Order: sequence, then C-alpha cells, then structure tokens
Amino acid sequence: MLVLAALPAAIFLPLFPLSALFVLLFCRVADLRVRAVLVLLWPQIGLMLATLSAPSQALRVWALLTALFYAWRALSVQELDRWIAFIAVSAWSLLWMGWDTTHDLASLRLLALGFSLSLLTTMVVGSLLQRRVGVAYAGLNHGLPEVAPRLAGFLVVSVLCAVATPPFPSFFAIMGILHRSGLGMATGICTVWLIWSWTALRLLEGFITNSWKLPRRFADLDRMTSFALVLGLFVLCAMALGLSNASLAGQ
Amino acid sequence: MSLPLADILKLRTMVYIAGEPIAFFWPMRNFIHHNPLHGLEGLAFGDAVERGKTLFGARGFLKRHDYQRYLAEGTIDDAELCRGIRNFLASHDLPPGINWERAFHCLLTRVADPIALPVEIATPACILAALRGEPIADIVVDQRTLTERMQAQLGGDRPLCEVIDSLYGTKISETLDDLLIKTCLDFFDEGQSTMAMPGREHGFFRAWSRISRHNLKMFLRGLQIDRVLQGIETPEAMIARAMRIQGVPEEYWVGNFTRELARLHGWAGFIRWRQNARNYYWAQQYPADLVDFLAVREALVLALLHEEHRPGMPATVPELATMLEQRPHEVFLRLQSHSGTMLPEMAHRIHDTILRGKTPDIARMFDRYSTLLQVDEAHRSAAALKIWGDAADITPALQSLEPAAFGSLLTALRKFEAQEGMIWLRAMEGHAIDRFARGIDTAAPKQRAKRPFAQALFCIDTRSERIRRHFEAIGDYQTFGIAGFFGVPISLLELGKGHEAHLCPAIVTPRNLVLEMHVTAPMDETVAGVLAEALHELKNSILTPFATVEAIGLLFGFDLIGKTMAPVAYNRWRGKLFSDPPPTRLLLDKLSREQADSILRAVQRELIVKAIQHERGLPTERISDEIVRDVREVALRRLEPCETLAVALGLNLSGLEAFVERLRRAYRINRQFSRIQLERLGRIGFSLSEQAHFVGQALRSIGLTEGFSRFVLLVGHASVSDNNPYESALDCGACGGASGSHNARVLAQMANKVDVRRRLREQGIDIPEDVVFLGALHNTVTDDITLTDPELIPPAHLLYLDRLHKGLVAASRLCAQERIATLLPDRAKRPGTGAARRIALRNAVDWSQVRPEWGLSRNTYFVIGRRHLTQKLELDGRAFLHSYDWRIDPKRRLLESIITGPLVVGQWINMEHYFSAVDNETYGSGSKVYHNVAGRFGVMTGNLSDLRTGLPAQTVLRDGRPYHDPLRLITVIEAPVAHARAAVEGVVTVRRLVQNGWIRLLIVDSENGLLSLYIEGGEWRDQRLDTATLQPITTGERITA
Repeated sequence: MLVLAALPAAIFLPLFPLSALFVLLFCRVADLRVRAVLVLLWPQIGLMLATLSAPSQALRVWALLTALFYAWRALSVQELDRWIAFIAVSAWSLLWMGWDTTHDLASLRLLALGFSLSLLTTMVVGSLLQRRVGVAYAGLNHGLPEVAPRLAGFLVVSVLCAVATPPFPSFFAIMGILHRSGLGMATGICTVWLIWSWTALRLLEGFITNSWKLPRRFADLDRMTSFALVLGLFVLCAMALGLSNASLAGQ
Repeated sequence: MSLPLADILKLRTMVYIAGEPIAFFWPMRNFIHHNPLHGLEGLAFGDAVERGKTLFGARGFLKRHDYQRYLAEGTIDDAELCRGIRNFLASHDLPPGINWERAFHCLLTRVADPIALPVEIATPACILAALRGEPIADIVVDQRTLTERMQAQLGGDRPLCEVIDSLYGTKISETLDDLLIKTCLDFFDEGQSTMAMPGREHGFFRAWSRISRHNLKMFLRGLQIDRVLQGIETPEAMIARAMRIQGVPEEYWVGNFTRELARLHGWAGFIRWRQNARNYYWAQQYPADLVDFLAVREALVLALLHEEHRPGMPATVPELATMLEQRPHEVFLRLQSHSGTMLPEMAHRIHDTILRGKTPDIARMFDRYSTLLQVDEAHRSAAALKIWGDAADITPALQSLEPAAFGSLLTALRKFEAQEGMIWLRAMEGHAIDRFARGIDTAAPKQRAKRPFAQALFCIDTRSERIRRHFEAIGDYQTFGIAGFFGVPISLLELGKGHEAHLCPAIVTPRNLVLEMHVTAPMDETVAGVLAEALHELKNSILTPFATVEAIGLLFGFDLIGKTMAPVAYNRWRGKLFSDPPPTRLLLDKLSREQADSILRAVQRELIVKAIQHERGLPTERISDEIVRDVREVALRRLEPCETLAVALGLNLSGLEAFVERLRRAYRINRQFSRIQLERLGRIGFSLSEQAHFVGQALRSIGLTEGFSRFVLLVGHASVSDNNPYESALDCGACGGASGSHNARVLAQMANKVDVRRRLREQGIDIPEDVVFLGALHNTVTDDITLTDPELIPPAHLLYLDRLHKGLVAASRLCAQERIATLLPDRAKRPGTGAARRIALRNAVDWSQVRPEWGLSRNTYFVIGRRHLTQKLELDGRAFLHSYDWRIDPKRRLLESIITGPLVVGQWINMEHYFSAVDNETYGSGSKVYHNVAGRFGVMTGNLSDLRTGLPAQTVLRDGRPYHDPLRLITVIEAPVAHARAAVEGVVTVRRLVQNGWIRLLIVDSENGLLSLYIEGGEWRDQRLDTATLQPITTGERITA
C-alpha cells in the first residue's frame, strides 16, 4: 500500500505523528457527547478510508511502534482525559495488525467498535468525576473511595475495561487482533497490552490510594446512577460476547 | 573512615536524645500497654498532643462531629463546654456587638466541620469581600513572606529526602521505609523465618553493610550502596558522613534524627526497648541499637538521593536554600502540585510549565495560579464562615465587621479550633466525674454481724468490676481489688518451658525465681501431641510443604473445616485427643546451700548418664553411680583422669580426656557454669520473712487485716482466644501480659503456711486457722472462675465447697450475660444467661473472631478506696478498683505504693486506649484483618509496613466510631484531702502526671465531707458532700491550692 494512499487512514487509524491530531482534538473538546461521537466514529472513518489491500509489513511495524509509544507515554499521564486519548490511539493503531486479506473489513469494524465502547465507559465515569471535582487528575484525587466509594468503584472497573480486561469488549477486540497476527507481531501486541495494564494501575494508584486531601467534598453517585452504570456494564459485556462471536465468525 | 571518640560519644548522645519521644514497643508475646506519647509526658497534655501531631502526623482528639454525637447522647457536660469557651474568650479580644459565647457554642455544637480553613494566599480582606459577595481585589503576593513561610516549612530539621519528595513527587521516603523495613524483618526475626540473615551476631549495621555490598537487587536498581559505604567502619561514621554530605547543620541533627525515627516509630520503639532489655536473649545474640538503625537509614538515603537526582534538583540543604531564594515561584508551585491540594483545573498546565523549566513562564503561571487560588480560598473560607454565621444567626454582623476586626476574628477562630479538642475533652470528663460523684456512697459502711461466707481478691482490671458486682449480689460475698500480681513479683520457670517469664508490671524487675514442678511422674506424650509437634516442624521447613502438601494437606483441610463450621464442638473433640495437663506444684521456699548443691549434683549426674549413653553407647546397667561420680569430679577438675575410669568407659586416657572436654563444653559440666547455676538456684523461692512481708503487704494494701472468711480467693485473670496476636493484650497487664493464675497460687501458698501466719500475727494480722487461701483464675472471655489447686482444700472445707462453686457459677453466668450484650449489635435483645454463655464459649475458640471480648475498652476511672464507696454504682466495667483503707495507712506508704505502681500502669492502659481511639490508623494498629505477624514479636499491616503499635480497630472502635470513650483516667482517692494530696506530692512521677494533665484527680474525703477536684494549672475545686442538692463538682467553688 502506498504511504501517501495510507495517509488519510493514518490520521484516523492513528499512526505517529499524525496521531497527535486526535489527541489534540480529544483534549480540546469538553462536551461528553461530542467526545463520544469522536471516539466511536474516528476509527470507523479510518477503516472507511482504508483500501482493501493489506498494509505492508513496514506499516504494521510502524503501527506497532505507535501503539508501544502511546502505551509507554500513558504511563506518566495523570490527567484521565489525556490517558484515554493515549490508550485510544494505542488501541486503534493495533487495528493495522488485524487487517489482512483473509478477513473482511466488517469484522475489523467490530473490533474497532469494541475498543471504542470500552473507552466510552471510562469517559462517562471520568466526566462524572470531573463534574464533581473540576478535573479527573490522578494524584490530586487520592483517596477517592473515602469520599465517593461508588464513583471510585466504577472508576476502577471502567479503567480496567479500557485496558482490555475480560469480559469487556476491548478484551475480545485484542484477542481478535492477536488471532490474526503472526508470532512476532503477537509478541509486540502482548507487550502493548501489558503496558496498558501497568498504566491502568499507575493511574488508579493516583485515585484510590492514600487519603483525600482536597478541601472540597462532594456527593457520591446516587443509587439510580449507580444502577444505570451497572446495567450499562452488563449490556457492554453482553455486547462484547456478541461482538466476539461475530468477529470470530468473520474469519 | 572512623570518628574520634568524642565525636562518637556526641553522636550517640544525639541519637539517644532524638529517640526520647519514641515510646518503647514491647514484643507482643507479652503485650504491654503503654502511652504512645510517654516520652512527652514532661509536657502538658495539650502540648504533648500537638507535638505528637507534628512528629507522627496523628490526631490527638476526636473529630468535632464525634463529640457532637456524644453531646447529643448526653455524655458531655454542656456547662463545662461553656466554661471552656468563656475561658478562651477571656484571653482574646474580639469585636464587640456579637454574643461570642453563644456564637462559639453554636460553632462547636451545630457546625460539623472546622471553618477556619488553612489558606496560602487569601488575606482576611479577600475572605471578607467574598463573604459580602463583593469582587475580590487582586493582591500582590508578598514574596518575602511567602519565601519565609516556605523556608519554615521546608527547612530546619525536616529531612532532605522528605523535602525532595514534596517538591518533585518522588517517593524516596516511601522506598527508604520499605527497604529499611525489609532489613529489620531480616535482622530482628526471632524464629519465624526458616532462613536467617547471616552475620547478625556482628550487629545490625555491620551485618547489613556486609550483605548490601553484594545485593544484586540494589545494584540493578542503581543504588550504589558500595560507594556509599566505602571506607565506613562504624555506624557513627556512616551517620556523620551522610549528614555532612547532605549539608545538614549540626544544630538540626537531633531534630532530624527524631523525624527520621518517627517515620517508623514502631520499629524504632522496638529497637529502643530491645537495646535496653539486658536479659533479652535475642538482643544478647544479635545486638542492635538506634545508632545502627539510623546508620542503615542514612546510607540508604544517600543512595536513593543519588539515584533520584536530576538536573536542577537540590542535592544538599544549602542547594535547597539557594533554590528557595532564587526560584520561590517554582518552589511554591511544586509544593502545591505534590501536596495533592492544587486547584485541579490548573494541574496539568502547571506540571507542563514546571517541566519546561523556563523562569518567565513559571513566574507568569505563578501569578495566574495565585490569583485563582486566592479567589478559591476566599470563597471556600467565606462559605465555611457563612455556615457558621447562618447557624448562629450572625452572618450580617460578620459581614459588617471592619477588615481589621475581621482579621482578628479569623486569628481567634484558628486558635480556638486548634484548642477545641481540649475544651471538648474537659467537658466530657466533667460529665463522667459528675456521674461518678453522684453515684458514690460516702456514708460510713455498716459493721458486719458475721464474717462473709467467702472473700475474693480480684485484679483491679476493669473487667473485674462486673463480676465483683454480680458475685457480691448473689450471696454473702465480699470482694477486694488488688493489682493482678498480688504484690508478689516473680520470675516463673513454667513446667516444660526453657525460659523464665517475668510475672509483674513491666516497670518492676523480679528478684525471686519460682519453679513449677510435676506432682506425678512425667507422662508420655499422647500420639496426638507427637503428631501435632511433627506437623509444626514440617510447616517450618522450606522444602517439605512442596513435597507433603498432597499427602497431608487433607489433614489441614479437615482442621480448617472443623474450626470454621463448628468451633466449639470441634475444639472440644480435639481437646480429648490430648492428655490433660499434669497437676503441678510451685517451688516457693528458698533452698538451703545443701539443697542447692544436691539439686545441682542430681542434674549434672543425669546429664552425665545421658552423655555416656549417647556418646559411648553404654547400657544403663554398666553406668554405675561410682563411674558417674568420678566423671563429674574429673569434669569439675577435682580429680585427675585415670586409667581405671577410662577403661570403665571403654576408652583410653586421651579418649577420656576428650570425652571430659566435651562434657565441659557441650554439656556445660564445668566449674564456671556450676557457679552460675548455684547463683540461679539461690534465686529460687522466698525466705520466710519475705513471704510474710508480701502477704502482709498485700492484705494491708487492700485494708483486709481482720474479719477473714473461711475462703479467701485470690482470683487472677487471663484471656483465651484463637488466632489472636493480641491475646496477650487481654491478659493481665500487672503480670507482664501473662496469666495472673501463677501469682495467685504463689500468694495463696504463702498465706496458707503456718509459719507465715505466725509472723503475721506478730505484726497484728491474725488469720484464723480455718481460713484457707485459694488461687483461682477468671477467664475474661467466658467469665468462668476456676479454682487452681482444688486438691489443696482441707477436708473440713469440702462441705462448703459446693456453695462456693454455685456462687461462682452464678456470678459468672450473670456477668457473661451483661457483658455479651455489649458485643452484640446495638438493637439485639439482651440474651439469656444460657445463650450468653454459649456465645462466650464460642468466642474463646473461634479463630475467625476478631473481637473475643472488649478487653479494657471504655476504661475511665481508677478508684483507690473502700469497696462500699462504689458498691451501689454500676460502673459498666469501666473502673479499675483498688481496695484501700486510709485508716490503716497513717504514713501513706501503702497509698504511695498503689499510685507508684498500679496507677501508673492504669494510666498507660488508659492512654493507649485513648490514642488508639482518637487516631486508630496512626496511634493504633488499624484493622486486625490486614495484620501479619512479623518476626514473632509484632504485627504489620499487609506484607510490609511499620510495626503496628497501639490497639487494633476492633478493640476500640465499633462500626467505624469510637467504642472506647477517649477520656483521661479519672483517678479517685478515698482519703482525707491532706492525706491524698501529700501522697501525690510525694511521688514525683504521679505529681507530674497530675500537674501536666495526663490524669484527672478527684479526692473523696468522707471524713470531712468534701470532694476535691484538681483543675489544670495547680488549682483545686472543692465542694461539700453534705449539700442538700449536689451540684456538679465541675461547677463548684474554686479554691486555690
């Protein structure tokens, strides 16, 4: 595939340095709905723009390096929004690995959707935290369970959801990609996955451990919101199972 | 590098002084309750609490809403609260026109959280503007003031690594603590680990430095320990080098050391205790002191500072001072950023700006941030003030204040909220004192027509109060309170144990040794006992668990299921597999020289026989008494080795000499050790005059010198629970955290001797012949009282034994019923006696039970006086009750002895409970659920933490709230005022405790009809007892001392 032809796709299935565009846009946009649309549609646009022929090995390697770079970069990020953006870029870059001629694009779209839906969960919980504190910033919101145990619980689950923990959609998405990769690429993908977990724990450490120090306190999630979130998570897991079947069936 | 001797001594002195605020931590095998601020008792209570806050980061009082809850429950004296507010207002000039007493009262009682919020930038004018709803004028931050404030915060004795952490968000202090804790776990292990740290006998620092030079993990981390330790031979040299490299001025070394020690005050407290415990086996084998501890810490500090160093980061104290002078904006922003209190909306931009490091950008960011911070602080402070203003209906008045007046109000508010803890505490104590004063009976006790059926001496422990009350109610019984060791400090060599246990308060060293001996011949172990021992050995090996888990894992599973599903029934069944402990006697009497020689001879002969059988393989019939005697004489160098003896042992002459040498070294049959053993044998027992002295003293101290009943029970106490590292904390503190039954048996045996009674008669204490003293044990988990040596009861008394048993059982069941109700959920119905007993029995054997009993929780009073004073008062197990009759103590010796010993121990217990309740995470030990035993002497939270001192949450908290009411010990002495005051004045430690406000003191003078309460500041408040309507003592007239 010619590099120039891949350029538009490289913006939306982000490859470094064009990935900076998504990060910039995501961090600038404040509205949750706009962000949700961005996260759901961005990789889909990339897949629409991509041609049917499989990417070259060089492109795959570049994609893997992009994924590694953003995963590594996410280790030191403390702002939740920025973290989501970096994980999104890292995840979508991996879609290049899952793209080959034996599989149709539809199954790849499902994998992309899996990543997006998982990130959406984190965005929703993050916005709930932001509305209460002003910003979701690890290290500033230490001891969140002390003041808002429900919110803290959902934050943990949603961050784990974003980093491909079973039974969430991103887990099946990454499984799908691994299934389509050779040994070398699979090792790289697993390394990316490992770094994601590491970033998740570092991020959560800044929210969950130690004591609450900020002077302002706020109300925890009410029962209705908590119930809705739980329901949402269940629906997500059900969708994940469905997505996994569909993506595997598309082989 | 080695220091001159003068420098070494100076440094060691500095470390000694630095360690003073750190309380001792005794090994938990014999838990000793102690005041965590014992080292600060020279300060007034309030000041010590403040100092504790600085050192340990701990709260010294409950949060306001906890006190408000107590107020709502009616356990706080509102009048005393108002008095505290008035006293505060009297020394502060506040603007006129507002009823400040009412307003401050409203603040305490109706506003849940503090309102004088700490501010960095906002001025009173800003806050006033925010309160008025006016725009807040931009202020120019005074650089000088800001820099000085930061210098005060970051400089002085604050360790450099802590400062770096607060500026750069590094975790040097945390990593340092982790590395040091791991080292401590390795070095101080007392048999828990299967692999011991090598070289421990060389001392802590030397052993660690040898290993750490070759530590691969540290090398991979980049910690250049090797370089740090280069040329260092002594721990003192290491400390001096580290402080000089860091550039810490010498005047701050002591403060610096104290702060370093306070970070791991559990370990530091343990090492401090250990270095002073001369007879402690592990300290003798593997010596360590605080100098070693600090040396290891400082070596790691240097290594970590080097590893974390980045360009621009100060590496020494002078560089830090330069940074403060030259880059104050950056320092301020860094502090805000890593303190976790930064305005969240600016966090990311500030981080980015700091990372870029451009001074003009940082200055601009500082200006923006300080403006936003000022506005935020002003609004938050105003919001908090408004809550108060609305509650007290003074908001308009506050808004109309002039800025200067408003500023002085804010200052006063801050001071008030800093002191409000003491105000609440005094008010809470006031209520407790009044409740007590109203319930006591100061009328002269009625003369008894006949002697009681039985008398019982219980420990002063608060748990005895309930059972004494029930025992007295159930029949014609009289009870007394005495320290749990019954005034007889002993060192006990228990049957089957190889070491002595000190059964006395921690502050006493016993001089007399008591041996526990078989009555019958030694019994063979049962099969179950052998199996249990074998399994225990297997568990302690590294490799066997891997090999045997499939083979014997099921056995452990069976045990697990049994203990979990049916603890009472399973433990009962399991108990049947083991033989009952054999009956024993205590060897109390002093040995004569001949007896000691005879015992030594017998032991050595026994050893020689075993040695010959083991080493030479000779059968018993070939080892004659003559051979044994000759071998012994040769070993003790009283006889030369000869051919005849050698042949008898099947050896040649050189073989005989080698065998004898082995006896001398391995079996210690030599002159030197014989001398030591004779000295030890000389410690065994008490002479007749000592026995008479202890019995007489015990009886006089409680006022029991006549009217003895047929049975005089000496009831020690102990606690029984499973899977509980804190079991010793529930045992008798007066017996060194052990069972009180041995001391009870000792005193009973002494008091039953005819010769002792004869001597006592000469001293005026006539104990009739038919009086029998019996030892007994009160199990505080089940409330069972068991007689310890029933076979020693004379036949004539057996007729009455049944009645005594019934009385004890009845009292026990009623006590359990009352006590178990407190362990059940609040709304649960009070159980019947049968149900209560079943619950109590289960608590004693249930390994999942985190709260087998409340122990000494809710202790409040220490009463020294006659029983009738408190007999009608239900004290709910909250009082230490020490019997005392001032009429037989004209010289106050007994009273001084009580306040010197038992009262001080009571104060330690009280303070431990107090601080564990107000801040369980720092002063207490947190939740038991996360505890892990460390080294067999302490517990940690999780797999790595400081040694947890204090009491666990389950002991002092209930559902997250204090169960133990944190009050200072209210000491009540029943005696004429002059008598009691003179006794207190005569004991320096107690006088200091009273004057510094560590205990409250109330004197009940029944003779002169007076109550006298000591008020802090050297004043007494008196009140007549015979007033028609008893006013609360706390509002009585003030009479200066």
